[in-house]
Amino acid sequence: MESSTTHASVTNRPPSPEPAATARRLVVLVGSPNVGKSLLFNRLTGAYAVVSNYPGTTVEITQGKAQIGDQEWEVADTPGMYSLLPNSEEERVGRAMVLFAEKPNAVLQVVDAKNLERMLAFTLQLREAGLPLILVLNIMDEAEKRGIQIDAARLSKLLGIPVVATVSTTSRGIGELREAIGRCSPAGEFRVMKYSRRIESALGAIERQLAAEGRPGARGEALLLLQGDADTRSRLSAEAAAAVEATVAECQRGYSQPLRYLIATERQRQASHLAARVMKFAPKRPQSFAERLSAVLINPWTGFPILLLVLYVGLYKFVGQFGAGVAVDFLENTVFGRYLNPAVEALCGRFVPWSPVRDLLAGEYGVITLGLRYGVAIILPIVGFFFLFFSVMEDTGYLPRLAMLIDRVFKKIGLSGRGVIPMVLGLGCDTMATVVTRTLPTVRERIIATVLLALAVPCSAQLGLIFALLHGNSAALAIWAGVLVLVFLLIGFLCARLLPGDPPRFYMELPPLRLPRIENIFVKTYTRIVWYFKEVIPLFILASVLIWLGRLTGLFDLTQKALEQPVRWLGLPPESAKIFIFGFFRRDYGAAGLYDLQKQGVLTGVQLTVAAVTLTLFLPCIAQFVINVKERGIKWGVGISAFILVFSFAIGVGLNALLHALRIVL
Amino acid sequence: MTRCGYCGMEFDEAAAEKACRSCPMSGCRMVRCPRCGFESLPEPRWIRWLKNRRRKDVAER
Repeated sequence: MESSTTHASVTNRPPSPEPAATARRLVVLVGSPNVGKSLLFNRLTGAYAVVSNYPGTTVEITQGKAQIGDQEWEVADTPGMYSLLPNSEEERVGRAMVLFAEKPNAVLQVVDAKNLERMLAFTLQLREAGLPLILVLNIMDEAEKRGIQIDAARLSKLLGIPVVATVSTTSRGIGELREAIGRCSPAGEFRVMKYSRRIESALGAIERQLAAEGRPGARGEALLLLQGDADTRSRLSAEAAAAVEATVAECQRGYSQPLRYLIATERQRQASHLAARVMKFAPKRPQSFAERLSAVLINPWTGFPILLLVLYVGLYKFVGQFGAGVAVDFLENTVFGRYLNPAVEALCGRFVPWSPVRDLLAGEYGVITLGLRYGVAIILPIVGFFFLFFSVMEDTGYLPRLAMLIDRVFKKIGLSGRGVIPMVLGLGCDTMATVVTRTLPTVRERIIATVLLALAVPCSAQLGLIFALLHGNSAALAIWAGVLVLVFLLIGFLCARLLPGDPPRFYMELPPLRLPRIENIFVKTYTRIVWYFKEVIPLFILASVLIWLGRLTGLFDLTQKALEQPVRWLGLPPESAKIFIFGFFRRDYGAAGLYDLQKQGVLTGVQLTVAAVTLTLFLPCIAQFVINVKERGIKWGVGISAFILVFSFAIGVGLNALLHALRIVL
Repeated sequence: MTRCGYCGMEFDEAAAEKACRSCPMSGCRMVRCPRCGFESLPEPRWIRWLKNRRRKDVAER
């Protein structure tokens, strides 16, 4: 469909806000999240932008400049907003910018063309406020691909504002948009939406009260007041506020439902009516194979068995058995065990006369014999195979379908499908995933996700090593997995019950399912392995150095001694205390320690299972602990770690006692 | 342009930088999707160079 710009004639226009000073021309971008507003902002302004907090708030506003015609315009990008009745600080700031504080010369409402019907209600609201509005139908290419046609010229005429179709990713329509901004004048003819007689009568009364305050014809403001908006009321004098309150109360008496709901419903009805007049849909075509497969993946009856199959083949067989079994065996026993370690030990014995330095390089906890061996021979093959598996998952578009599938289960533990993002990223690195909890919409969800990540989501290397340790013992593996799933669900369920707040909501548009491309998978896996070498291997070496220092000063042995008693309560031999110290450095470091211990043959099947469960649930690593404190504050950060320390040992002790009481031999 | 591995959104580096602005983990080099927050690693320079070169070749042909 051609992008078009149409401007209706200016007759009988509703009152517009006071025009800005001629020297300053300001255009403000508004719209709900994820409609391509930021990209559109960049297209208008170029790369340069200034980001600052909106005065008196912590909400960030992006501002830039655009040359439109022969004039320089200021461009401001507001945070995502759905309506002029704010539900968050971000929406409050966005509303203040367009309605009260800035007096923009043009307001661009950016909408996702595919979802025009849903977004037109906000357009009507902005229109009722009499703003100099331009409607931007963005992401037009995707709408066209779905067979949606929008008559922009007709919509422009019906709304009395310019309507421009754009694709911000390719700059399509940006020229027309610039022209529309340059020509922007107060909004044109618009048949003002009528509500029920009772509501219209109350609106009339409030408009008269506003006129007496020196703000004639402010229908948009009157509507906000009628819907009980406290911010708008606080801008009135005490007498006017009291009069408005009485009018609102009188109007409300005639209805059983809140006025806010009634007005929003009527506006949405009108938006649907408007959309029906300007949108055309191509006749439904038969579903493609990818669409049918997508439906199967998100259907609980078929989706969960497929998920189990994916986890079994991808994680257990590919990462656990092949990566942690075959590849680790070759690298550790052949490359390091047969060649590298003996060579390093021989070289150090010959050329390094100082025993502490020899220990640092090639001792029991040496940089090469322990740090590099753990990092390169044990962890690298596991994370490498995990990265490969994860890249395939990513490239096929399976991850968002996984989110849809487990949305219902996650709601029981206070999260939604959106919580899948940090949980899946947690399988890569829990520390990064904890930062990503910021993308969850409520503090309650962020706290629940942080607790679950720190407690019951093992990172890929830890997971792979545990699969490798337990793969020959299916009963032990089943107990480990069962305890972990149970703890995950139980703690999530308890958090959801104990933490106050509304249940989460989740809405997501699914990208198409596609065949993975070899090139993409190679690039993603390679990029992640390079990252691992640069960021993680140095940490392994650092851990070896710290342990070496700890041994020199006696601190390491002291800590190990202190942990020996709690470890005995778990039914484990005292030498396993060190794996918990390793685990606090990094989760995978602890798992690698357990792998070493198992190889020495000092653990029975029950001991191995108890150690694997306790170590998986054990304290987050140092980096994650620091991020927990940074993200959730000192109280939650320390509280979560203290709880996990006690809880993980309690579960381990309980599991050990239960297995012995039932005389289970693994 | 980068394609998000989770929601499929295509975005440029400027939009990703904006999504990362308030993150405390400065210097982590991850690219965050401005729509869903999913993080991925930026492609190494030599891969980008190869891709650009291939695109150029195709355009010239």
